Amino acid sequence: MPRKSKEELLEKDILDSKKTNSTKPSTVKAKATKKTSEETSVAKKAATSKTKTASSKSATARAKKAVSKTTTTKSKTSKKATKSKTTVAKSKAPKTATKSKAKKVVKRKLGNKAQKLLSKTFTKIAKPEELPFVLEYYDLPYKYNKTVIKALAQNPNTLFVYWEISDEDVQNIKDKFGEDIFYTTKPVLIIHNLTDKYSFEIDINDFANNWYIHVNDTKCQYVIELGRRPKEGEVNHFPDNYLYVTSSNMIESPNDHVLFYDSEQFRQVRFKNIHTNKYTTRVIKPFLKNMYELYRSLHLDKENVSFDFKNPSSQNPTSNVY
Amino acid sequence: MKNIKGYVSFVLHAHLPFVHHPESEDYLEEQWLYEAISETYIPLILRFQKLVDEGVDFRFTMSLTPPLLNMLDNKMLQERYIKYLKKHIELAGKEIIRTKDNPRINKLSHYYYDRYSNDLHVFKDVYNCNLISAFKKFQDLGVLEIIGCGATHGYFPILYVNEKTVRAQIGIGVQTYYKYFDKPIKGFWLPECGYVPEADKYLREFGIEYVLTETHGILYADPTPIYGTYAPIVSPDGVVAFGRDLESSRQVWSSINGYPGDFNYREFYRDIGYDAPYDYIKPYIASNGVRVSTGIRYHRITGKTENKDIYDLQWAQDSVNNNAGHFFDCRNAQIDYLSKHMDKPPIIVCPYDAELYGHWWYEGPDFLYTLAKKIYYDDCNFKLITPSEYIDMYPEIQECTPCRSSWGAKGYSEVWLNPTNDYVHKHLHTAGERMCKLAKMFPNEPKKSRKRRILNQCARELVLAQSSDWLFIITNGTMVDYAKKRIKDHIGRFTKMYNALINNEELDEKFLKDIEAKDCIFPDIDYMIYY
Repeated sequence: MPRKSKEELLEKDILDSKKTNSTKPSTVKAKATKKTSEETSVAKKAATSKTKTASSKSATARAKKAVSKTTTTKSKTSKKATKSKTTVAKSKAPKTATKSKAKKVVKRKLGNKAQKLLSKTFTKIAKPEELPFVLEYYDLPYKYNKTVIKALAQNPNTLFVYWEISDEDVQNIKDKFGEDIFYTTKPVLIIHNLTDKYSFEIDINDFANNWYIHVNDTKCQYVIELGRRPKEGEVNHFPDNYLYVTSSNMIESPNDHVLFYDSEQFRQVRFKNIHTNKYTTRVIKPFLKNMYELYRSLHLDKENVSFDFKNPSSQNPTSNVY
Repeated sequence: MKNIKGYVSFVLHAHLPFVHHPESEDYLEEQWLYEAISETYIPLILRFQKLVDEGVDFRFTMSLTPPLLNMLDNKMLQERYIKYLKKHIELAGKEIIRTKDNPRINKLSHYYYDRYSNDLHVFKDVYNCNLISAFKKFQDLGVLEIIGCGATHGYFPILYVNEKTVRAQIGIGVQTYYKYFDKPIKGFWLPECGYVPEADKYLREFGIEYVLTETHGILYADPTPIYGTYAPIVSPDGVVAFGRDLESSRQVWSSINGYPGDFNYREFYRDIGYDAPYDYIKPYIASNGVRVSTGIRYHRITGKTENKDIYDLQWAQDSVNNNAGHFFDCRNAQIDYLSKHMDKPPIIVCPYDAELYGHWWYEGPDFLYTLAKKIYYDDCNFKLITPSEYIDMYPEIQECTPCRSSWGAKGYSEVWLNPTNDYVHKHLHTAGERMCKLAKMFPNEPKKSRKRRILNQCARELVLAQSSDWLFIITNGTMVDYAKKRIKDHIGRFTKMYNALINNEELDEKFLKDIEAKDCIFPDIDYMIYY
């Protein structure tokens, strides 16, 4: 019998400590409710205590939310610790049960211990502002509100562009050409090949903010222009049937073949001595055959210029074994 | 007396993204570092030491990237690595008991127990938790050439639309090199071998002599390099470029008959983390109970079968000897052929991810050791060399502009720019522009001022976001959430600070302290590099 009551007491201790250690904001709330009900009846007292526990609950819930991965695991372990302590208390209890006085002391001792432990853990969890690490959550912005088009080269035959038009520029266009101008026109990309001096145009749509563009000519410099044209059947507001919006950076499509474009008979090769920075030019007629020999040793000749370049960094060489 | 007709240069690229989470020990991504230390870095250090002790004259070239250097130098990660080792020693100890009825496996349990114990000894007692000093020692002895790399492995062909961000990647990378090494920097590993001619002037500005490119970086150069990849070329801006040799790398990388696929080698995917009884292994796998690999593996590749045989250390060693012998013979024949067609000795450049040796290919470090010894003692027509030694010996170099290229799949930028990750680039570009704007708006803030602290942290967040690893991981499809989170976090933190600076708003001190603790890469960074 005494043992059971001890356990109950212990539980009460823990509960009390929980209450006393509930977060500051919750006690403030509780006080506020107390203020409004100055003349306290028993029922009202009960009510406030309810709000107390409720608010303490919400506080712990908030704290839990606030705590990131680590601290939850920490709290778990500390909870475990308190559990183990209580079991220690249980096992100790029967020994001390013979003398009621001693029992009481132990009770208090254990109560304090539990309280201390709990207060430690709960203050840790309950005050988010004291957590060692700040909670963060970020999302990438949908747009940066600037008018821009940027071009990158994915491979020799594919360019990638992304673009955005600022709210201000959208408004300017609307002011100039009418509110529904973005409904009656469509966006286009004009690809200028600066090296071979030609341009071509592709229709895009207003749902996209990036595009992969196929280009036929490798090792050429490109600029990509974003503009608008009237949709079919719509009235044309623009001079020249076209509204320029913005242009991209210059981008060069990479080379994709061996440049055997020099004369077969002879060629001059420029050498630099990187210690003296002096240049020498040699006619390497006797070496030409050798050069082809060297390239042939790479399983490559004029007819067959494509390699299978596997990315060494991206694969586990043992992965395709079975 | 050997008749030297050519040279072979091994370049090992050691890189890991910066993963540092003081807020939690649950990030599995942190294990990348511990696994790489135990499986690659320590084994390489031990093999180098053994070669030095045995009086073998050898040369290797290694890039140790700035994020890796920062992590190896980080106290918290060092402590956690020791914890990792202790846990593995404990597990291996349990394994000795669990496997006592199977002598073949039990031998391996003992092997792992000894190996992890030795790692702990080497890490703690021999090198005092400082593995950088180990690599530095070999550089000072003249057998290892350490080269630099971009600050956070930012991929130049995508970043260079804002050249200042590329310049900063190079500048911070070189500064980090000089923080840890006192020999002048000569070489630079272009992140992902991503070459753009626009970066050359900045490489020269920071004193870089040479870079390494993918094979077609040289073969598709303009004008045609007359020696192919068998001699370097020099760009108009004065950067020397070496190209990867196809033949030798095929021997290692080929998934059909590459060395790492030898049937006697250790099987990568069979691990007690997946195979052992769940309750038994639970304390040693992910904290959320998901089975992950532990590094203790008992099986060999065996063949094209799911029934894997038990790994045998001696058989593996036999295969190492065979493969090293084969590689040795092939280079001998290759150089014999090439030297007939060239008026200077050819150089065969073999760049690899360092983590291939040991982490992916468990016996890789032994292969390098055996090969270096063979080249030194056996009769052959070539020597090991570092690229800078080759340049010093043969400074007359053909002038060509290397081809825009990378060592990613298909040879260009598809790994880092494709529909899975193309949404990232506008954020990287915008943050880069904003960083330059901040440097112009608040130049030369006084040292120790709060504003300077914020600006420097902005620079850290920017370079961390630029790491090519996140884009690569998203393409690859494993650990995608983590990579996406890292991009969001760094861009988010940067943007928060940028807005506070631009709008002259107060920034929460706690927030600043917190991200300074988390993203503590480059303690000496100076944002004025973006000016």
